[in-house]
Amino acid sequence: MHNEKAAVELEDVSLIFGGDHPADEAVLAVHDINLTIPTGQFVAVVGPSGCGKTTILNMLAGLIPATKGSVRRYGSEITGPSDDIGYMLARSALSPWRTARKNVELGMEIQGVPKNERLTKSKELLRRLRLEDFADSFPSQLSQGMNQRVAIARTLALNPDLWLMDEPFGALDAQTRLTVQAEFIELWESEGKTVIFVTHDLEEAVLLADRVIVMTARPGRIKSDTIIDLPRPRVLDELRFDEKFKEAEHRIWRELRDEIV
Amino acid sequence: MKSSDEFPREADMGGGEVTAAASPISQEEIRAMLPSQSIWQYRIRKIDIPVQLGRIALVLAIWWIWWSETIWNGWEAISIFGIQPFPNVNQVFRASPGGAWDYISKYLPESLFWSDCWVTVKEAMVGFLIASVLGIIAGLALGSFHRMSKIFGPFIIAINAMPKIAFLPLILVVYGVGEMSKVVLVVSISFFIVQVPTQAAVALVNPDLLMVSRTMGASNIQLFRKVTLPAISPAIIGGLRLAAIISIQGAIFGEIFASKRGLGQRLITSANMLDYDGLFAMVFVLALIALLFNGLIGRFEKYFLRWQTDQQSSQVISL
Repeated sequence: MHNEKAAVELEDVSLIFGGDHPADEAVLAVHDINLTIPTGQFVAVVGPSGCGKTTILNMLAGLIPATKGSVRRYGSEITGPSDDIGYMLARSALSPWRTARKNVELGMEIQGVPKNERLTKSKELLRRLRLEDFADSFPSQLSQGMNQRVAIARTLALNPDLWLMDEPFGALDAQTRLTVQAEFIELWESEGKTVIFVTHDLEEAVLLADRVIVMTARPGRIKSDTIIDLPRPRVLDELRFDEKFKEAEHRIWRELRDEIV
Repeated sequence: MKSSDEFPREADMGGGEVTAAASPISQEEIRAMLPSQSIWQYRIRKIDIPVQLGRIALVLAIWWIWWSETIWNGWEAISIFGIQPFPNVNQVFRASPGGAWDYISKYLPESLFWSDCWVTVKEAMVGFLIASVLGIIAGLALGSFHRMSKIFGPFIIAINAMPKIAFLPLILVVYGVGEMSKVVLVVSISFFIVQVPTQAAVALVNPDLLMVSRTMGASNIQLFRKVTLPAISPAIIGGLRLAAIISIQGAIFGEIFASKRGLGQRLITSANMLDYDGLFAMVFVLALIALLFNGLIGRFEKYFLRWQTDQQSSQVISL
């Protein structure tokens, strides 16, 4: 019954906030979610704000338990945070007292990775994100886009199999977003890890993902599930103007529009 | 002949391709583009002449107002609701800068003066250290553990609201007129100055930072060491800065009230003997000690908070 090949499996998952006291309103945040994601798939989740996208990520990260149903990784139930899951937030959430390099090394420090190994890994990641010249700068000295790249490097430092990304580029300006998206997709295409990418930017979802899931307004349910059949590797600034891309985006937009408007 | 619908050449429109050299520009080349500036111009800008002139003017104004006895003569014409903020001061009570300087130069070589200094500094420093350690521990515990703050919170707020000075007679009876009573007074005042901001800062740690570390598998101890402690360090250092100054004041106050030795004792003795030059001299010495304390903590702060931007750190009142 349990699919042991699935990187992520949600079965009849519901989550209720509050309701401890009879006078306290119980909010049904997500309702009866069923979703199976195979290893190596890049899944984007879009939906109106407050539809429980972040809640699903929090459950997968082991931060909150599901009220009902089962959340599994490779057939076994998720019970708490795990170092093979990387979670990246919309805000870079870098420690202001750590340099870029030390921020990248945070997870490795927590996991007790030896110092020289940490240094090798953080240097390599910073180089891949073109930040090697800023390794010793503090977040306050870097631009928003650079900080977000440091946060990507930090998320990937522990080599997670599953990348959970909560609107990671939402806080960036349009220009910076294009560059960071392109860098990110190149990085992902070389690694091929499972990604669940929450965004409210439909264009971003279709550009990056293999599969786009549209959620309904609260209580969040899956409204549609579309495979994006565009070739890889993707060159984002060309793909943006491709007819097939536009057609896919338009099709999903019609689903999403009913939930937003 | 050109037809009218032919597009104008790009160059006419100012568009077209501009090819930029992609090769990186060296540090020397970039420097060459800067307007030339001698090292002296740089230094003069660094000194910030308006600030220095302002400081000098302020010192001269204070000096003049004191030396010329203007401040002692007062302005009795000024009266606000019958209160005269600048009354005329009797000749007997007037102190002059020269008199204060004479006092200092007379007593400076004496070892008794230095031992008085040491007594006061010791009382303030020991009290400050004990208050800091206890205040930080209490602040952290109350901030981290909800139940603890619910149990102790109301009592701590009540004790904090009590005027500590009111306990001084009791403290003197219990600990005697020696140094210990001053240390206890200092601890009772400075403890709260460290504890209150520490506790508040723990509650204000950015939840995103805690969440990120938690998803990476951090234990509670690791969350504390890698997130909470560094995040609250500016608040703790701010509290320490304030507590250092207040500790000196506490020690002096205790000494003025009742003591065997110390600068406060010296100050009140001078006042009782109508030696107001001595009183002013003591006030200056105390101000110097306070500056020294503040400077030491400033050093500490510069090192520990070097990740803050200049703007952030200048929001902390510093000398």
